Amino acid sequence: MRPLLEVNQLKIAFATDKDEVVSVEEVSFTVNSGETIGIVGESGCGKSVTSLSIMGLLGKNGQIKNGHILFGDEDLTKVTEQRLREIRGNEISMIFQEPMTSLNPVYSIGNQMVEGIKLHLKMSTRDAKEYAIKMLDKVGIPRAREMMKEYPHALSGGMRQRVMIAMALACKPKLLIADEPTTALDVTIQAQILQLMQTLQKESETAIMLITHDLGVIAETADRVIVMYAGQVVEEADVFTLFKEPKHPYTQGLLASIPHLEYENEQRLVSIPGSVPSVKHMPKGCRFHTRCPFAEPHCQQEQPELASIQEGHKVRCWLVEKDPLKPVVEKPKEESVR
Amino acid sequence: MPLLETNIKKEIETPIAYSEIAGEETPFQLIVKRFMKHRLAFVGSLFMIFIILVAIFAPAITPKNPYQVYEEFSAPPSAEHWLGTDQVGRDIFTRLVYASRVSMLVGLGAVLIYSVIGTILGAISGYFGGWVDILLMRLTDVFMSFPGLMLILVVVSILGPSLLNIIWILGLLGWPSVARLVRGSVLSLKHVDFVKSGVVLGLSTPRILFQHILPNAIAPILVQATFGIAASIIVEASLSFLGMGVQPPTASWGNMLTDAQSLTVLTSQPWLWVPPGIMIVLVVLAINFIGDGLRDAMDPKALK
Repeated sequence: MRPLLEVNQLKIAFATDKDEVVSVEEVSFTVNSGETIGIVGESGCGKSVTSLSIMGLLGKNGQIKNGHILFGDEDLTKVTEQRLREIRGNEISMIFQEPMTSLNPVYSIGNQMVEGIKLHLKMSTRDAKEYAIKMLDKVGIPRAREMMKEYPHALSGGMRQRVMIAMALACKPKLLIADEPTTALDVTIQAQILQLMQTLQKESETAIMLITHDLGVIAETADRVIVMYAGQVVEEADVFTLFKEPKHPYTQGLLASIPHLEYENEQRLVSIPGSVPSVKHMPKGCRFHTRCPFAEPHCQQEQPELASIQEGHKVRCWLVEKDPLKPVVEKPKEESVR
Repeated sequence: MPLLETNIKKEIETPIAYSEIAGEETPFQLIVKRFMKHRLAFVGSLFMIFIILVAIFAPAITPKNPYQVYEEFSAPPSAEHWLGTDQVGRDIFTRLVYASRVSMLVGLGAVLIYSVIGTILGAISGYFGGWVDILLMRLTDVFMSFPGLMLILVVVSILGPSLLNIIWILGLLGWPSVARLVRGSVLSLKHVDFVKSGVVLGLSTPRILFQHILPNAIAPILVQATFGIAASIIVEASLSFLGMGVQPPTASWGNMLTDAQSLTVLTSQPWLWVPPGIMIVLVVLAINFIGDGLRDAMDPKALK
């Protein structure tokens, strides 16, 4: 079966005052319909840029330098702005991190929902209204009919995110891009929203691209995970493999730095030393070698390829490439404070 | 984890507690309420409503014709002529009433024209940026650097003084300040998340700009426009006083003041120039109070 979305060797650059900086390079992945794919990584690793490029929202300075984004039969890097507008909201929709500001304060909830529905589903105002009420109902908003008249300021963050989800899913998109949908919500609401997205996904066969830096969210919801570092995909695996046998030292570091309840009081939380290299000064060779505890001289010279080590598990690391079967290294240990 | 999951299910199945939905007032009601509390603004708006009604129903308020010449000229106030007659012999009270039409037309007309132009240009400039922005903003710079009254005088002397000309000239010259204001608001609003979600929803650019961004920028435009009405009324009065505005026999508060150019009138016939002068002061004051009230009422930082 053909995948719903196929991103192939994507390279994105942003123009600055003097020159341009490459923000995302050699990013390839696929999304099948109905599956949830999680994209994790630190801030600035290119998660959001990748998702914005799918929507054609890179802005004036951003440019796709290379590669293709195949959605169905169309290459989204080549379609016209007009076609892109038809796709947005209808076939691909997106929800953002900040529900508090994602709704226009001067229009009622109903008004904003009806606008999108009328535009894409070509319904009459009355039908669109009924449909909007049904959608609000579905996302668990009580008294949906009355809520249509309510203005965004009367709703809490969780409620607003529900409205955003209702809007995003109203046109039954094939793909939903959720850019940190729960980051701004408190933890109990987070879980509700994730659960809601999953329930609705089952109904509508929508594929979800979940962008987050929260591995807990990934573990709860994703089928497959893509780990990004410094604008590249460093590891791709299904969620169980990734959590059980992370191969890339960066993934291992990320997993090790999750705090655990069973930690002793005097144990220090593991962290990956250093920070993400700036896009202007990418290290030569493997981009992670400056922070990698297992770096070898070879890592500084040449960049590893994203290599498949088993069915559905790809890693970009020399250590793995040399000996795929060997469990790369033992997990980094938490060090004691004393 | 299991604990969390049961929690989720419970929360999803039972509707969320309703305490989160607060505030029964819509933002509009809140603004009206705050405006009413601003006493001067409230009084000012009552006065303006009165003046507008007077302007609309002028024939019903005074039975006389503003152009009719009576036998006595420069007559002091009497039972027949409440505010006396002017140097030609026309009834001053009647002319005062009819002149309010001119002032209202100039004030509202000019401001309407320049607010529309300024809003559209400012919105386009702010939203699209780049060379469009540079071009439009340099154009506003050019317009702003004209000495206003001089230019108006020149244009009026070319086109000929008339009410309609005055409105158009004021309208076509006033837009730069509005354009700057709107550009500023749009610049800050275009990066707001709901604009992004509009784009993501597939809305067209004009729709996003004019239906989603502009309504959020309306407050400063409205305040600016209110003060603009007062300013336009003053400019019209000055022009008419100088004889470059509304031409007699059409009555305007400004050209009624022209009589005061003579010293005898100024010193011994105050009924000729005091009433139109008072009207100008009161109307401009009232409008400025309304503007103040609106600005305070629409200020998002104001507490109550």
